[in-house]
Amino acid sequence: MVYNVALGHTGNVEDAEEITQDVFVKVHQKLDTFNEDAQVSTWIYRIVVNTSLDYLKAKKRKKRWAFMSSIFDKETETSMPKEFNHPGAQLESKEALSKIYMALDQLNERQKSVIILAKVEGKSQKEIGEIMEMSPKAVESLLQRAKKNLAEILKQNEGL
Amino acid sequence: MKENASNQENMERVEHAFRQLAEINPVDAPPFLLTRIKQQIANKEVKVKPVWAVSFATAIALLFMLNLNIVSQKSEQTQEQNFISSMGLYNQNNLYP
Repeated sequence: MVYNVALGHTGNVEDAEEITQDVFVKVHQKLDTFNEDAQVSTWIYRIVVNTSLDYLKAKKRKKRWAFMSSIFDKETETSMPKEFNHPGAQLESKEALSKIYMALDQLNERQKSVIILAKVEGKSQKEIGEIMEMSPKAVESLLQRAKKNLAEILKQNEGL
Repeated sequence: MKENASNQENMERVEHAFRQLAEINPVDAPPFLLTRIKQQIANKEVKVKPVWAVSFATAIALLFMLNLNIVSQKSEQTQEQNFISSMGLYNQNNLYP
């Protein structure tokens, strides 16, 4: 479950492995803060989503910094974006999924998460609401906005 | 009319993307990951313990020194008072009580 959600967010095996490790360390450290009224799975889902988003944010920052330093210092190695290599994706749809993930990366964090949880993980709006600490109605409107923005991005990327 | 067709096209594009996302199969985590996680947790525990141990030991030492100081001050006072009372001395500098 943890590995798959991380993989859903990154689309990349190496990143998902790192996130999974971080998540279990966090779960181990924060076990005493767990509210017993809540479900363990929801709590862990929340940690995975937040850790994945933090990881992707940090990665974007690093990429920006590498780009900046590559302008001033030609010898600096720029870390190329890791390609989409989700082992659960079927071979024939890998190229299309790679494009979809590129588009998902252009959405804001919450919109990306809501799509991953709803479409890849198959979670209901109620479950997503519990994970993301939102009402089901707020989840629905977030999903609608995400859908609209994704449509625009896919359209723009198609023209490239 | 043209806008509606464009919207329809956009929505179809997204629905197609969603269908492809839904086709992604769940996978098992690699077996070495569990070992790595256990190792990482063990490393964290080793790092965390000394900090707790040092802060706990410091707190205990401070408390002990404070207690020692208070007790020694009290015993000095009582010795002084015992001496004064045994010699029948008047414990004030006031000449005209």
